[in-house]
Amino acid sequence: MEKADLVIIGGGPAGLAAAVRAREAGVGRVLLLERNPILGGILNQCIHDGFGVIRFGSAMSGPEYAARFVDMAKDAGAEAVTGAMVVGLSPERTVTYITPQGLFEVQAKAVILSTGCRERTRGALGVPGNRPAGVYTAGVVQYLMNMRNLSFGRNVVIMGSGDIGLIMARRMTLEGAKVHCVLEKLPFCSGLPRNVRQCLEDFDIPLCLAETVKEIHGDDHITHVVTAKVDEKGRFIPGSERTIPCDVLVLSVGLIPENELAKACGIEMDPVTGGALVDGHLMTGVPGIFSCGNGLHVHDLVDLVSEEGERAAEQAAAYLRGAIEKPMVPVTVSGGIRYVLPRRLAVGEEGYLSLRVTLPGRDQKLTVTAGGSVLVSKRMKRCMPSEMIRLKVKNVPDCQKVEVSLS
Amino acid sequence: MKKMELTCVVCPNGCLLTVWQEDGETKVEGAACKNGVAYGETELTDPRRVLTTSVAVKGGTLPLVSVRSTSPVPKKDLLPAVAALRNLTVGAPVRIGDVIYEDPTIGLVLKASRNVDKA
Repeated sequence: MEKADLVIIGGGPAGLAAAVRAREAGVGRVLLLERNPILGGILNQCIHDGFGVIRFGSAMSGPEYAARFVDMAKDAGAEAVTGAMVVGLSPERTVTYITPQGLFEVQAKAVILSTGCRERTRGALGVPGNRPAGVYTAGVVQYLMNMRNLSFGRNVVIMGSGDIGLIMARRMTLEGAKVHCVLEKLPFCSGLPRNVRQCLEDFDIPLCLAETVKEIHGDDHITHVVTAKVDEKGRFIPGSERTIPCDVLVLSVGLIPENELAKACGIEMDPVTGGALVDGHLMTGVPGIFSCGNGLHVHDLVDLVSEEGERAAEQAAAYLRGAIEKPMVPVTVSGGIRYVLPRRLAVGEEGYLSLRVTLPGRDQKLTVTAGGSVLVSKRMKRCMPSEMIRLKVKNVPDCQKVEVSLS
Repeated sequence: MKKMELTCVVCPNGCLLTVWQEDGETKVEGAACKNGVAYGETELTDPRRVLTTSVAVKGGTLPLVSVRSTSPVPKKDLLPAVAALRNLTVGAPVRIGDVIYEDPTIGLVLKASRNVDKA
């Protein structure tokens, strides 16, 4: 059987960064498997700017950011196979993939999962009504407009306030469509505040909070939607219905880490993030298999996805050298924090924590403590569920547990 | 003058800025970088945005090349500028950084932000 020191599944930003760093860390044969015909993942269709500010100090478009990493991976000597769909991963790290040339198996000493995420669809929402054409997810609209040069319609309603929906509200407006509104069921926006500013407010597109689509109408093609306000429990408020004529309904209602391979491999998952349960080394419950990027938990910034890919690669390299065994301490969270990742940190090392709050808040304080002593304390002028917060613990002490609290 | 809160759009950090006038100067607080200070200073008087869109390509592996303005342009000029691009077609190949379109009247220079090879 074909052999590799490290197989990386998914050639988006996390996988590309992991491939570069693994080679830099001295890993021998690094094989990157990507199912699309080109590397770069979702970056290829993200033609808006803002990528790379942290990493490269300048705001680039998605394709530019991807191009840099594709070049770096090539220079670093990583092997990439595109058009390669991975269909199997065993706990012994045998990776099975299909290309137009046939079915292949490769035995890896370590595996990094960087499989990204996919969009939640109408089926997951249970919106009643017909099944007309003209209902798309935001990422599909983005792909068809930016990669295929297809146009959709003139009158748009966007359901859900995720970032891709906001970005597409601007994109469709620039291309001449009328975006009537963005409807968000929750009382606060799911997308980043900067996207509300530059994608909606700049073009006078209303953001309608606590309102969602109640019915979808149209026989062959969508003709209109009926919306309604919802109460604090998410129930429709009778009498608040509005009819909005439209020929396109765009759904931007959340992203789900893609983990079919991980689940089939028996890797234990985190029900809150939808990704694998990993330790402080980003290693899953199956030794030698690591996870990073949007397949682990959905990020806001690609720069941080790349960084996580690099950390996964460093840990995979350490694992291959046999230098990864460390005692771990559990991480716990107080109320107000939706999740923290990872759930265990390695004693005596730097610890990187990613977390999200449950509700928006102002002037709060995040504290990381261990056995009564404060390890990190961070004042937060504004906390938004849409903004991932990261904390770095310089030296994780040998203790019962590390606690993260919001006050 | 009243202090105003603005979300910076320069980068995805989205810093929460506080902007106010003092002694005839615009003061900006809360920006993590100098670009954010510049954004806060101009946002109230002369709002500008980086324009990203795409232009048709003939004979390429993709039907479009994505483009990005080299500097922010006045917000009011965004829609007219995109409309002016509708009839523009460029030939493949296109490399990142190639100048695709210029409109000196609004200080707009659009450069390719994607490589498109010849089909």
